[in-house]
Amino acid sequence: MDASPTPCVRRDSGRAFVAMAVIGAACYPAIVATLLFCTAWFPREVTLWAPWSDPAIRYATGLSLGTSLAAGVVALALATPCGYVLSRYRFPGWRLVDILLYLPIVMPGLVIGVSLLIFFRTPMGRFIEEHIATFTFAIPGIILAQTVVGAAFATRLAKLAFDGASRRRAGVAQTLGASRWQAFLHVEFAEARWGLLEAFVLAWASAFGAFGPIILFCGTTRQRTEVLSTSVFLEFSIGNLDRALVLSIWMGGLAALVLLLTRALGKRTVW
Amino acid sequence: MVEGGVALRTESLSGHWGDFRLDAVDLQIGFGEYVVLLGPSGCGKTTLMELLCGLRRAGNGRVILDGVDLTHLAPRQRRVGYVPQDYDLFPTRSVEGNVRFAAAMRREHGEGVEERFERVVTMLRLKPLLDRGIETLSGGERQRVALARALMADPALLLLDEPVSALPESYRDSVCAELKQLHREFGLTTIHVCHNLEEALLVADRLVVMDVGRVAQVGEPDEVLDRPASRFVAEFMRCKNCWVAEVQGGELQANGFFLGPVDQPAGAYWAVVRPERLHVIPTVSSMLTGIVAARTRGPHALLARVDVGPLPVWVRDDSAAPVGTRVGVALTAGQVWLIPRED
Repeated sequence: MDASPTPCVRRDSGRAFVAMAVIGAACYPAIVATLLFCTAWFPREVTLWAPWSDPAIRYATGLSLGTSLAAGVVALALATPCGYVLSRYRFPGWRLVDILLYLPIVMPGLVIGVSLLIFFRTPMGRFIEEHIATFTFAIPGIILAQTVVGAAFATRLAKLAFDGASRRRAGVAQTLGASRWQAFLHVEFAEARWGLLEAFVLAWASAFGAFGPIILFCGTTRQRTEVLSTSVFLEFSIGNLDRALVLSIWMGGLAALVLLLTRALGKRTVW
Repeated sequence: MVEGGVALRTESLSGHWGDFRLDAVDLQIGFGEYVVLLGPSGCGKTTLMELLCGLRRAGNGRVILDGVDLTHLAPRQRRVGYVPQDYDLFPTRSVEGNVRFAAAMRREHGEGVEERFERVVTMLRLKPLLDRGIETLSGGERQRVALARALMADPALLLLDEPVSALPESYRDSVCAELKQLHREFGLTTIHVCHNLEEALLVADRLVVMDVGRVAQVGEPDEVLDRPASRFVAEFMRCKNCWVAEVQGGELQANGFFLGPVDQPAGAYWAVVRPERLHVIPTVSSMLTGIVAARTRGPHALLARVDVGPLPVWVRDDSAAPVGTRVGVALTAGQVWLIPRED
């Protein structure tokens, strides 16, 4: 009999991979949590609710929520057709449009603000200001600036949402008697709805936190064009570090609240 | 050629998309006929289906259904039901929502719709599934929902694109039988696309065999099997006896073996004869004898390869003569189908 021992093959449990994945995945959440923690626990003399007694801050909070939600809606309205066309069709210049739509993400907010200011000094911009609405240093301007930022993110997600919705099923729907519009609404849009909700949330979030374009294009006038993000800057610039930090915590809390609400709403919505 | 009137006619339907080219397709399909469109993968079967239901625009030619020119009509105006290969059910709707889709889109209500719904749902055994979500269904259930959804649109022509390919092999036959049953029940003109010969022979009233981008032959199954129009068709129909042949001085020579006199003019041919048409007979009563070289189980009979000199002949052999024995073969030159061969 051959007495040589059976070669022992080490079992590959893949445990190392799982461990690496967990450690790798934990890094970024750890960074974010640490930053939040530091902001929240920095010793300060202002209570968390103290700024609420200031009418200017109450105004800024309301304006922030109102304009960012409006900007989110407008951004989604702009991003949906844009994402649809980018997802469904390939045309000459497709790549160019694709890159163009990345630029608002890349460009510093300040540059977007300057560009908006310059636009409203052109004949076309002046015409709009005279006959439609005043944007420069006014509330519509805040919404516009936030929309420009938010729509860039929303377009990416809307395209992804429509990438995941079946064009073929829309075709089948048409053979079943649906018009092109019905096929879009009942098949493609219906399938993309969660992705589009995600697009709206991201658009809203980036609008809520937008700072650069707003401060340049609309300034930050107390009780007129001051939103939370510019309030934070304002408080910092007059050396009011404590209040700036409290307002930052407010922004984080409000954002978390809106995100929770949207998710809950989205889950219950029946289309 | 088509009894009972023509339901669907295509007139030199053609076009090219990217690298793929579809050459003038002329088809005539009768009312209530069950036609199988058969061809290898990538030959343009699905493209042709999309042209018929309007999801693809033809470069040229016309599609006429019940005397109406559909060529420039939108899919929803065509009354062509399309059941795609992977069924493409709407994941955002329940089974009932899928089945009622057509009625909902056309805003049809009332007794007519309910009656039809009842009939379709009963016929396809969907009653217990109506509230289920699409993702919970098995392949067979999905297929029945897709069929029901198409039937609810009251089509004049039903297109089934590889209807059973996604199902487990073991119950494809019974599903095919069900499709035929459904076809009898609704009397719908049907085109069933597939790439599998056995499946095609099981259900087809008539076969349309496609080569890449063109129709290679149209005919009843026996006609296509016995008299294939080209070597491609013969091979695709898996005819085991397809020999290089020549006719010289009225004599047929297949694979270098003289089979006897034929009427065809002199020239180069492919000689084709279905094994099912040939039998093993006692050596004494036979002019041709050979050695059994191999045997196999055909779809419906035992087959044996008998080497008659240089000519390997596949024949039906229920006697199961062992390999190596000498047997006789009932084969005459008159049984052989000749296809002109260009070299």
